[in-house]
Amino acid sequence: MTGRALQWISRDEVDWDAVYAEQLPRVYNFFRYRCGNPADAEDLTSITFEKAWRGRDRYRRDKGAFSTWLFTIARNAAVDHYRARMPSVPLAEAALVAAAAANPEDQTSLRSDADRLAALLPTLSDRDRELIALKYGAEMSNRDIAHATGLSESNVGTIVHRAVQALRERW
Amino acid sequence: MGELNLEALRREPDPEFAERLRARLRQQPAGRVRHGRHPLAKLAAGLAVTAAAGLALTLPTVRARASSFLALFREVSFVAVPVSSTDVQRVNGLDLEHLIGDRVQVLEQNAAVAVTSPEQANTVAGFTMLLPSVLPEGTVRTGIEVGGRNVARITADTTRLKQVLDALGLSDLDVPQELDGETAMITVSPMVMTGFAQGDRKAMFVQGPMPEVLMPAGVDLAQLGEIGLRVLGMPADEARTFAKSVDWRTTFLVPVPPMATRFRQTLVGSDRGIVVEGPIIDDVTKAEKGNWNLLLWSRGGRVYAIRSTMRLADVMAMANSLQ
Repeated sequence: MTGRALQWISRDEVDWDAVYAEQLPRVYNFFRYRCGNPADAEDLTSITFEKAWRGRDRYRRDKGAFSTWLFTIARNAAVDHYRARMPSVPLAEAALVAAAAANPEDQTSLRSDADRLAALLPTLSDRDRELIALKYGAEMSNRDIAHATGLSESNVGTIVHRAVQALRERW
Repeated sequence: MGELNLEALRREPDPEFAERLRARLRQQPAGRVRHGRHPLAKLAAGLAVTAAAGLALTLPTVRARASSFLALFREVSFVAVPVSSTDVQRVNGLDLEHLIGDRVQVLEQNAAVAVTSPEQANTVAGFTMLLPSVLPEGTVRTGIEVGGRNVARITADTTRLKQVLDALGLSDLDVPQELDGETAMITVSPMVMTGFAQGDRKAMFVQGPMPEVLMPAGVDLAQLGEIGLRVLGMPADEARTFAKSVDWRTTFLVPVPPMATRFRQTLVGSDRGIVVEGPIIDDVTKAEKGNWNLLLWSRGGRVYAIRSTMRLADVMAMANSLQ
């Protein structure tokens, strides 16, 4: 083993500060799209980085890029978050959006594009919303999303396209 | 109402939040992310070329299935092979995962675990670890980890191997056709990794059983060795002569990286080993700010390595005081 062990023992390392600076906005925005609530987004971002920090020795480059590994932790954190809060929040959000869509006056109260998008995202299925969050929140390519989710790249493209169409129709 | 604005929710994280989180992370033990591949994956990637190629011979000791067990009880020899940056770039430029990834099957993969005591390390690793009885002044033990057992099977594909060699500009090399479809098994047993710190200076002491590559019977190890040496950049004539003069069942090739400034043979007690040394370069100023060293030796069927930024004399004293 020793030839390769020379490299193994040397334990190539990455600059954690650089990783933090690069990935923090992506993870944070992933949660903004995934969960909608900025406070939850901060909490879940903290959870993600703390888990990644504690488990950094488990990261293996052969299993994918560092960002893919980080977003696996982020996606799991989102799942745990929803599991802990279900069923009240998603249903309540959905009801709120449905009511808003039915009432033009309420629609006018959605003053900004951000408010409007935040209100529409919960109308998507869980899977579609996650892909939208990865695509437009984390700014991942379809290929990276495919690696992170296990879906094929073409499947990711199709799902994202349909989800965007659905949002556009309700905008 | 305007067009759907899908970027509308995106915001920069609040700087105070970002700083709070960064500070919280920093309060935890100074961390490093292991960016390297899993040890087995490294082996697998290299061995993908190897199993059929000779790079395998730079890895564990190799034994043929039909060979006697005598080789297992011999001490291994370390042979340092300087590798130029051109050679490194040439090998790194290959998309090995694409070329041979589907020929590698990971049969067992276990992550390293942190343990709290040498006794626990012994239990997890399955052997009694050694510790230096002499430590340089101000040196403390910082932690112990035990690497997991990892096993991979590699199926040789001589066509792919030939493609790899052609891509490396080694078209003159013959690939042993009898290897095609044969499998090699690589087993990496748990290894104990003990960290030490002396102020800013660090050392990592690794010890464990010899990893093994089980090759198909009848394989011409010298021929594979020659391929391995050529891949490492050794000239053709020298590689052929050297390959025939070496007992490949007990020889470890140690590629010496271009950043190393010197390497030499040494003795740890009565056991032969090698030392590789090089400078530590400051990332910002690019100035030398010290030296790193790597000491490798074997004893009683186990391999030992200390990689450190401590003074070499201190490392040698630690190695010579193991008990």
